[in-house]
Amino acid sequence: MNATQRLTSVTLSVSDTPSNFIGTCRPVDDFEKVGRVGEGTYGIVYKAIDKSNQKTVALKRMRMEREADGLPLSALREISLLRRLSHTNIVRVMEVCVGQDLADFGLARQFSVPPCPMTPKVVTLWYRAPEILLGERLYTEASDMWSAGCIFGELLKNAPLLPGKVEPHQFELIIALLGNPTERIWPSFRDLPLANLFRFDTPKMQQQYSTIKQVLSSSNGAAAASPQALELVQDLLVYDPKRRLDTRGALRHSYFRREGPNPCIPSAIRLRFDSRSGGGGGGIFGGGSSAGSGNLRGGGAIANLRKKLEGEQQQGQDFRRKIRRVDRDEDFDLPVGARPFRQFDLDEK
Amino acid sequence: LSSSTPARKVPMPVAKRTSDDPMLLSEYANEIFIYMKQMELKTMPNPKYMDLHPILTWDMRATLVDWLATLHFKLSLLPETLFLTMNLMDRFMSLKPSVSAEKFQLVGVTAIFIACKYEEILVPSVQILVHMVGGGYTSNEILMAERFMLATLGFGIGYNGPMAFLKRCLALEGGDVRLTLLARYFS
Repeated sequence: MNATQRLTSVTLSVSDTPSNFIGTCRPVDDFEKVGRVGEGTYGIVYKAIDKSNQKTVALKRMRMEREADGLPLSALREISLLRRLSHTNIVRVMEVCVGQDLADFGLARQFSVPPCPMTPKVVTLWYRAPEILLGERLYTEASDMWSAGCIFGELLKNAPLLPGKVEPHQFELIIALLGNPTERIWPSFRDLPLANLFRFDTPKMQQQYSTIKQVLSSSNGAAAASPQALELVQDLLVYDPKRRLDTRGALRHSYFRREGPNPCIPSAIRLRFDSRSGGGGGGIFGGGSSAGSGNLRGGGAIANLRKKLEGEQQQGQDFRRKIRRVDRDEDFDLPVGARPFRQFDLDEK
Repeated sequence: LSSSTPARKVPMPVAKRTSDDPMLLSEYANEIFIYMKQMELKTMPNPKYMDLHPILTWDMRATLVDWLATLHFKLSLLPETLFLTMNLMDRFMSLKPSVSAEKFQLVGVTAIFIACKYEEILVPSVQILVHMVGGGYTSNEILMAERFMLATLGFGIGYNGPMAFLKRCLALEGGDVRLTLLARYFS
């Protein structure tokens, strides 16, 4: 994609308006919106045509209201993670353009290998695993398997499986579907940080049996789920993250083996979509350097060297003085009444 | 680590004793380690980048790094954030020639701003950073520099610093607290 190269020639002189967020890249007018595809927590996704090459793309408009602190961290993580993911089932970021960018992913954060506490309010509420609802901060890939179970169930039911409105309501729905958690099926769940915020003794929280079978067999518009499909949902929606099915287990599940249609390579599926966005190969944003601001001067290597030798000492001293000006201990004290940190409110809409 | 070393030939610490702790992701341990080695090569700065900057010297970089380390300490940030800051700064400087002495500190403060957004749960506000540079740059300048740096790096922020490798290796030692603290001190 040639257009992506333009990102490297952004200059610091761009106007500071929300509609010109990532420098002087292409205006969004270069794309013609065809329709609205969906709406996520962090933005609206459109189907659009790139007027320069007539390719179909997904256009995601990030919510940018009330951003005094630059690019929101959710957007920054989303774009940088998507840049690195390369898989046919994951949308590929083609470019970041004026105030908007092309792609979708949630609040992904690079998973550091051993534990490290993570941002507490993640994942759209409907797909949020019970351990996250109870405040577990060392959540794992098992939480994603819960989300996968919710989505698989949604496909079977033809409607969202657990459409909670707020956190307590979400937990009520989970209990209504799966029965209430007990120490036997989920040891030590009461030790999780927010466990005492939820009152497990209310009538709504008392439900001894799982109703998932009934829910998935009497759905409007959807055929009743097969026994294997039901078993897969049940194995994914297990309270205890340690006992929940993992990715390898899910791929080996009898649902994919004993029941047609069999798994196949994506190209063998006949899609009814009109076209797929053409992803070019290679680096998406390109690297390269550009002579933007700064003082690039001509004059050749020798002049540069001389200049460097002459100026080096003086420049070094000046620079040190400039930095030292704010390097005394008290210069690092926070100003009185300042709001030092800003927590990005992830539920902000 | 030498860039000529093929990623796959490096002996990999394989998690064996860690299966009790789900956060150690022993299910994906090998894939993660191979990926970390690949990313390490992709996120290396040019070790001679100062040649691209007629005005700047390595000595100035040392001054700036000292300042960033103090700032990092005063804001009580994570060690990963400091390593990522250095990496973003050095990679930016490898790609963007002829940075002036006036803007060098802006590069540093922008790098720590972006690193915070990537690593931290709580992110320092722009106002705090403006205060910390002694009014040398406005908040508008920092926000524009943020965009410019992200565009220059093509949003390639992911970097597996020494902390990531250290954690991986310490996981094999069964989580001895004193050993962990000592190793983190040296890193």
